[in-house]
This record gives sequence, structure tokens and C-alpha cells, in this order.
Amino acid sequence: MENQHALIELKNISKSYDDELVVKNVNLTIYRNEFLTLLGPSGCGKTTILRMIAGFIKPDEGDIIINGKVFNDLPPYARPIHTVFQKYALFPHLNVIDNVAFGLNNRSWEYLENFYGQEKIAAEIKELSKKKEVSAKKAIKSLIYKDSVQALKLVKLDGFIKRKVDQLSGGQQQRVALARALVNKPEILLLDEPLAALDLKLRQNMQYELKEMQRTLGITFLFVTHDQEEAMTMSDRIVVMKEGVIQQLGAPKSIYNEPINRYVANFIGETNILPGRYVKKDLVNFLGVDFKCMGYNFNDGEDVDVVIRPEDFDVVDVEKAKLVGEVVFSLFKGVHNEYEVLVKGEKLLVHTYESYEVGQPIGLTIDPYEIHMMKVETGE
Amino acid sequence: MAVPYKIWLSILVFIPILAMLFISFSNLSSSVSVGELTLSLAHFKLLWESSTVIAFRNSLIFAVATTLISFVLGYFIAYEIKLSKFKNKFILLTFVILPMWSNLILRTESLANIMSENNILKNILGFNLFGNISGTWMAVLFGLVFTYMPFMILSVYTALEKIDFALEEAALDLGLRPIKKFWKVVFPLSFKGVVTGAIMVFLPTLAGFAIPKILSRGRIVFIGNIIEQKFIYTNYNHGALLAVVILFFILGSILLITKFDKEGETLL
Repeated sequence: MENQHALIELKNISKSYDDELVVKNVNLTIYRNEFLTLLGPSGCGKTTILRMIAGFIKPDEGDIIINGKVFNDLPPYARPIHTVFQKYALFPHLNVIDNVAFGLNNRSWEYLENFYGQEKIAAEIKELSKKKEVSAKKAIKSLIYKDSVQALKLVKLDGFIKRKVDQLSGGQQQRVALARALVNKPEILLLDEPLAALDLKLRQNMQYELKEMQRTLGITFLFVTHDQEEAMTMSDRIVVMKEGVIQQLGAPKSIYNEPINRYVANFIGETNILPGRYVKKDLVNFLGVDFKCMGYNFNDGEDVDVVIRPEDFDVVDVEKAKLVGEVVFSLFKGVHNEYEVLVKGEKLLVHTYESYEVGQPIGLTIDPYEIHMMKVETGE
Repeated sequence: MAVPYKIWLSILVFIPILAMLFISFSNLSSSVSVGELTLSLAHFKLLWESSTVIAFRNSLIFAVATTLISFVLGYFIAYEIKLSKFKNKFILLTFVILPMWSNLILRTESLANIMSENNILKNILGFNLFGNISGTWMAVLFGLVFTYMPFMILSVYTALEKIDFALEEAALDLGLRPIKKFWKVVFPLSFKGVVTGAIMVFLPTLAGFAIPKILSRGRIVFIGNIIEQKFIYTNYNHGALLAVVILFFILGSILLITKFDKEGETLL
């Protein structure tokens, strides 16, 4: 990632509303062709960052640099960026195709000449002139129409060209909004919780489609969501935010497996966080038992927080187990069973395929590489 | 709900309209007894009389002019109110309708007063604010715009307020400059409000009689003035006939509204 071309750089960005700092000194580099997700609960400043990049609001401090140029004072219409809004924001007075073509239809002549290039326009004039003479303007109109149809095809809505937007379902409106942005061939597509209003099944489908589109079109996607599963599914990298501050930045896997603090660990999926002590190199003690671990360096004897994902427990016979507990709650989740296991007064969340009854004893072990540790946070 | 509504509607609207239609075709008057009633088109000659034609022309010209001025000015004011950072916009709108709280005749009479040569405002200000326009077409036009523009402001404002701000952001995001954004998104989406406002200004201006009478000091005659005269001089046939003609204008306008504003959103 690091050696790739940086497309957007945020440098020491801060923004406050009514004296309340919503984005605090954020530094972030977004690379070309990556799918980056800003993840956090509502009010964590993720949408504010998105809106600053789009140009709807200006940062109080810091610079937004796109392609090496400072974009702070550029209005939204002059940025090579398009947004898919949360509530789609389709124009109710226009039909589907006019919505999609809206951006291009309202561009200046110079812009469109640049956008399509002389060659393509000349080719289109030639093509159209077979039937009758046409002007360059007509040719561009025809190109815009073709592109819009193409964009609608991409989102599988080419059968709805003349439909009014209020006659479309939520999922279809979402697709129109996507096509309306994509037809302009933006370098960067900003998506502000675009799937939040869709039902589960549709949302999952759209997640795959979005990821697929991003891969094939080679556009940088900056996605904002509060849904960690959504973020996991689609992103190349995830930025976890809390109260205007970036907590952790990394690939979904590394954020999931090696959360940097309690907040990230809790926000990204279910987890067990246990107080422990780093005895010496590659040995950690928690729940009164010594465990082998690997890859962490703390001071000998330092207190640490141990993170173990529910699915990382191995369920074994009681005799072979390092930890023995009693199942106090069980839930069948389809693929796996979810148990709450009481071990020495601590409740652990365990996912396993084996079935146990409430009240049964259960033996657990953990592989060294599944044990993750974080510095103990003070002041929380 | 429907039945009492229909009863009231028939007593207060349909029966009087039918009565007027009947009167405009019949020779009914105080000197004609029931047995001698006949129906004819005789009264329709009135419509071609030059006094009627001129009155209609005046009404139409002033109604169109008032509507246009109210549209341009009123849209501007409504848009400014919408854009204003002022938190309580209800107060701004109250200022718009505040003049309506006083009686129309009183308001118009005082307007005529400060438009005339010597008035209290001149004493206070030391100069004549309106010049001496009382009795001219300018006075009438000013009075009409002053009276009816609030309707335009309110209905345009209602329409503007309903436009989702995200749509304006979307337009900017798609590369439109603010002015183009206004013409391509804001104006089309508020057009229903303009149509409703235009009709709410146009109709009372067309049918009204008090404002032109007072402000032109009787020099400019609207069709409403003729209707008033006819009824005052108990020429019910002619009065009814003209009233029915006006009614057709109103019906036509309402059809126009329903064509643009199917959901009745901008109507109160």
C-alpha cells in the first residue's frame, strides 16, 4: 500500500460545530483505487470528513490535498469527486435517465469537449451523420445518452430509463444514485452510508456489487458506515473512528485480529477482553493460567488486556483443557453455537460447532497465535 | 364527513351558482311576475358593450401585471427568507402577512391617503413618499401588489421549504454552479408553488373591485366594479351574467392548478 500513489491526503484536519470539536487533527492518506471505509458510531465525525472532502464544508484547520493540490477552498462543483448520498437525493422532477445524465447535461461545452476528447466526438459525428447531418452538440448529447444508458446497465437498471424516480423502490433509487455519480467518471466516489436504508438481503447484495464495481472500474471508493460487518466485507482498509479521532487504520483482518484498544475491539465484532499479565517473553497469564503467546513485546510483569475472539477458542475434552468452565447460556446461530461459559467468575463468549447443554462443563484451549494483547488503557 | 359537507356545499355554493346562471338567462326583475318569466340570450349583448370590454381589459391587464410583479418580487423575498440564517422564520413570515391583519378597505383607504398630495406621512417625513400618484394606474398597481403579494410569498416559501437540501448539494456535487443549480433544481421544484401563488394573486385581482375603486378614485374601472354597480342598481341579470363569466375564469384557473399540483401540496 505504502508505495502506491496517494490520491487524497488529509493533513491535520480539524472541524468544530458550535465550539464542539467533531474532527480532531485527523491525518489520513487515501491511495488510488482503494476501497477505504470510515467506520464509527454516529457522531464520530466520519460524515464530516466525507463532507469536507466533497467540499460542502470547509475544515477549520488543516489541508485537504487531492492529487498534490490543496483543495480547501475549491467549491464542490470544481472537484473530481462525486457523492452517493444517504437518502439518494435523486431529482424528483426528472426521470431516471435525466437524473443520470444530469451532471453531464449541465456541463460547459469546454468541459464536455475535454471529457470525451475530440476524437470520440468526431467519431460520433461520423457515426450519426450516416443518417443525417449532425452538429457537434448533437453528437455530445448522443454520447451523454449512451453513457447514461451504459451506467444504468452497470447497475442493472437499463429497463427503467423513462421511469419516474418516485416509482422506484429504495434499492432501485440507490442504484440510480450510483449510476448518476459513476457516469461522470469521478476519480473518487464518496458514499455516505448508502446502504443504511435498504433491507438486509438487498444490503448484502449491494455490498458485493459495490465491491465488484470498485474493482472493475478502478475508482477510489471512500465509504462511510457504522456497520462493522459492511466495512469488513467491502473494504481494503478500514479507519475506525471515535469522537473525531482515528483510533486505528488497517486492513479488515488486522483490525479484527489485532485491535489496538478496547474501543476498537468492542466495535469490530464480538470479543472477550480479559485482564492479564505479560509474565515474560511469549508467556501471558490470565484467568490464573499461563498461556503461550507470540508476537508481542511488553515489559515483563506488565499488566495487559488480552483479546480473544469467540471463535478462537478450541473446545476440547475437559481433561486436556487449559480452562474449564460451565455453559451458562446457549444460543443456536445456524452455522455455529454461541455459548456463554463461566470460567473462574468471568463470563466468556465462545463460538463452536460442538453442541453443549446449559450446565455442562466445557473445556477450552487457545492457540498461541490467537491470543492478542493490548496495552492497558488508563483513564477509562 | 361527506354528507354535511355536501349539504353545506349545495346550500352555499351550488344553489347560488345555479340561481345566478338562471338569472343571467332570464328576464327576471322586480317588475316581472313569475308567470311572465322567459329565458333568452338577450343579456349577452352586454358582453360586447365597450364599457364591459374595457373593464375586462383593465381587470386582465392589471391582474396579469400584478401576478408578474408579485412573482418576481415575491419569489425573491421568499427565497431570501428561505436562505436567511434567522432562526425563527415564522416571525419573518408573520411580517409578510402582518398587513393582512387589518381590514382591506381601511388599509386601502389609508394607502390612498398617503398617496395623495397632503398627508400625515408627508408631515412626518418632510417629503412625499409616493409622490402624488393617487388616482393613477401606478397607485392601483401598487395597491394590488401590496395586498396580494403575500399569497405568492407564502406559497413559494412553502414550496421552497419542501425542497430537500441534499438535492441542492447533489447538484453542486454533480458540477453545477450555484446559479445553474437554482435554475435546474430549485426553481423547477418550486414551480408548483409559483403556479399556486400566481392563481391566488390573479383571481382576487381579476375579480376585485375595492382596490381599483379606492386607489384610482373611480377612474379605472374593473369588471368587479361593473358587477358591483349592476347589483347596487338592482340589475341582477347583468350582474349575474358578469359574475358567471368571472366564475368560468376561476374554474379554468383551478383546473390549471390541479394540472401542476396534483397532490395539492402547496395549497393551504
